[in-house]
Amino acid sequence: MTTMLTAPQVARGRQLLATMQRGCNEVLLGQHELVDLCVIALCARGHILLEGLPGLGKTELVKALGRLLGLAFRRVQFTPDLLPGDITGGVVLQEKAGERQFVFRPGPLFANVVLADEINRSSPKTQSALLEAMQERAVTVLGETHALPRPFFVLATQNPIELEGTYPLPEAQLDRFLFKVDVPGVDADVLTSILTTRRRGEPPPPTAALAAGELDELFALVDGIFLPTAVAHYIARLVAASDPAQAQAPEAVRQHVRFPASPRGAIAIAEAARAAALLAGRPNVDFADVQRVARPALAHRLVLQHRALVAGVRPRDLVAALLEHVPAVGRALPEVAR
Amino acid sequence: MTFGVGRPWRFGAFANKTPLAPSKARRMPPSSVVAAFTRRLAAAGFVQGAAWAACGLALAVVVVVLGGRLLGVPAAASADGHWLWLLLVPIVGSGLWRARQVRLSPADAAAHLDHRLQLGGLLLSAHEGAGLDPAFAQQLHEGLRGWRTALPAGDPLRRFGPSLGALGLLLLVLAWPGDPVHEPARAPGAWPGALRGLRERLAGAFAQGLVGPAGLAELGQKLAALAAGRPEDASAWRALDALAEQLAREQLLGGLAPAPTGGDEAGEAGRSAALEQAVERLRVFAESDGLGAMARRLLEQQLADVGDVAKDAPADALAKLRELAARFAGPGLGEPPGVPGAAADDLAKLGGLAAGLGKMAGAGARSARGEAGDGRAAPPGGGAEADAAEAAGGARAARSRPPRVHAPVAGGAPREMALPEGQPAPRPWLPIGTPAIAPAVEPSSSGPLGGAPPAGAGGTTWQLQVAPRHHAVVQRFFAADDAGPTKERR
Repeated sequence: MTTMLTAPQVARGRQLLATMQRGCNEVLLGQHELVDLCVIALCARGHILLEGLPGLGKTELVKALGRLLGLAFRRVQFTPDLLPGDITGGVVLQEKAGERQFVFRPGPLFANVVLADEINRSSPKTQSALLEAMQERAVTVLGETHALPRPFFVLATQNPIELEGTYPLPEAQLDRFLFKVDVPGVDADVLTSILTTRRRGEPPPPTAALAAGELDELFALVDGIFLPTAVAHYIARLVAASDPAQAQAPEAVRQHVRFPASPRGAIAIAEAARAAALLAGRPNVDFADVQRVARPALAHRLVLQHRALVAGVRPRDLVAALLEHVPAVGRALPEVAR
Repeated sequence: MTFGVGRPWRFGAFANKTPLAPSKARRMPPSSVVAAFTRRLAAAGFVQGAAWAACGLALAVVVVVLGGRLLGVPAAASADGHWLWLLLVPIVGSGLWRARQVRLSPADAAAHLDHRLQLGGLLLSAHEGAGLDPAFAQQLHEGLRGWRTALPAGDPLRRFGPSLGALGLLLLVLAWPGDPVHEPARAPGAWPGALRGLRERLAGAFAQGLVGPAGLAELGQKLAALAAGRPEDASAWRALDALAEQLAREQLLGGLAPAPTGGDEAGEAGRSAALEQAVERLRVFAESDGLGAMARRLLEQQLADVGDVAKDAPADALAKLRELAARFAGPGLGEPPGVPGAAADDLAKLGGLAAGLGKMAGAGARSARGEAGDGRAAPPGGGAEADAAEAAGGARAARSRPPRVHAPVAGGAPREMALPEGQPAPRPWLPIGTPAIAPAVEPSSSGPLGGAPPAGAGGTTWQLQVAPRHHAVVQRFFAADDAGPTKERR
């Protein structure tokens, strides 16, 4: 028999998550949903790709997260001339005690939280250097594999405009991100709060929200969230329906999707749903948790047809169609009167 | 990290009556709720399936009954609805089929309940055997209280309206009486009287010799079987009608059969005198103005027949004739009858008597010829002569009122014969006899094997081995006026 989290454990998890939420919301005003998704992704130990216009606070949010978690934080500004060795580190010839030997100098990837700012401006060669780091949480240089520190998060940002001289991320690398979150703009009230509470727009200095060991406790609580079989079946049907070749795929998917989401997408949804369940104060995953995280977890994994791109079809709309089309329970309730 | 805080709650804890919950209120275990939800769903499916079947069957029956009534089918016209219970079988079957179709597995039922009651996956987890914390178990219990609201709701009028409407239409159609013309309703009290009348008709026909002992036994047996039937059943009445028809047919055939020979010839001179007197009185009456022109012509014809053939009439026939003459003419000659209707009836009786006397006269003639030829071999044409005499008698009787039929005669052409008195003309399609016609066989022998084919057969022999689409080609190739195969090949 599976033992589920007790009520005090769930309450403790919610308390830790609330601390992170509160700290992020102090930094980033009026972006509660974005903060929640980022907290969920971090609890699920996933990487996040933030996409939005300049000046919306993407970098500030990532920096605040790094500081709130009390982890080592590095920032890498991706440029077209950035080389893989610049981020992974390299071997240098060093003289010690009269002997010359090659010594590995770790790059900026060797941190707990790495901010890959404007990741789409670097060359594919450099982008691909992140693949192993994001998936295996290790770096291989000159045949030697170096483990990255745990936990390891890559929080990347990219700009949807100014696409000249950029290199769109390949699907293989997009698949490594747990979430791709669109950073929305803020309304006038939030702007007013920013103007009145902050001088020169600088956020208040965050304090380390989580003490040492609390993040591990949080990870353990997330791992203790129970995933019922029916919910897992719902996730599987959701991902399977993103395949246009499947009979249960909605019409929008058949028309616009070229390649469906991978099994890694289903795993990402399940892990993120566990964190979302803990955030909601539940000891188990519910259908609502799946529906909450499905959009940021699936949208960037769908490869659209060219005509869909030309027509301006957005992947998140296709995920919305999926959520609307696929029922929560596999066998629909028959229409009978009470 | 450990998860030992608190006491885990198990799915079957309530079923095992383990006092884990802080509340002492009676709780319905989640497994029971899931089972009840499944049962309610199956019951609703049963009702829905039964309603569908009732709707379809009712409409079908309405169409059948109305169509039958329009087309004049007696069973449809007399449909009264007492057989409606038979429709229960397909209705219940459809309900069971639908209940089986909508029945959910416990896992699916738990998922639906959890989703519709917004239990946050607690019921799913409990159903899968995960141990719930007592606080979450209490939360689950609170959420399961309104499990009945999770049943799919629907508009009862929209779901059952068509079925109720169809059933109402069916009852209306069945309550509306059918056309009584096609199948006249007969009172059950008329059944014994009809049986009695048919029995009396049968006895009378047997007494008159129109029905033989074999026919009496057969018809009596059928009549006894009918007496055991139910008078409210229309088929019993139809069988009674068929039996009456059969009896009438037997009577008709018995009346057409040759009358038995013989008769009493004593007092022939006295009967002849009385006959002549009666005929004379009738003739005087016919010449008077007591009847109309047509009736007078009929009476004259019948008197002529009676005068010709009634010399050999038996005493009872003579008495009838005298009685008829007295009724026509009265005690005093020349007095008209009081009631013209009675005169018309008496004319009919007189016609029947004349026909009967003519038949008896023919039989007497045959009997006389048979006595004359006694001790010798019967001449080959003796039967034909008797038939001819009977035909002559029948020809005379054909001028009387009773209708006639064409009786089959072996070895000869059909001839016209008079029906017995009171016998209505048979329907045109009633078969009295069917002569058998042997098929004509013209065997033809095949030609000798391997020999030359008979003249004229060669043209068809080769066609049997050549495909039809090649016939034209072969015919051109072997044509008599053809120069030869080389010409074709060119």
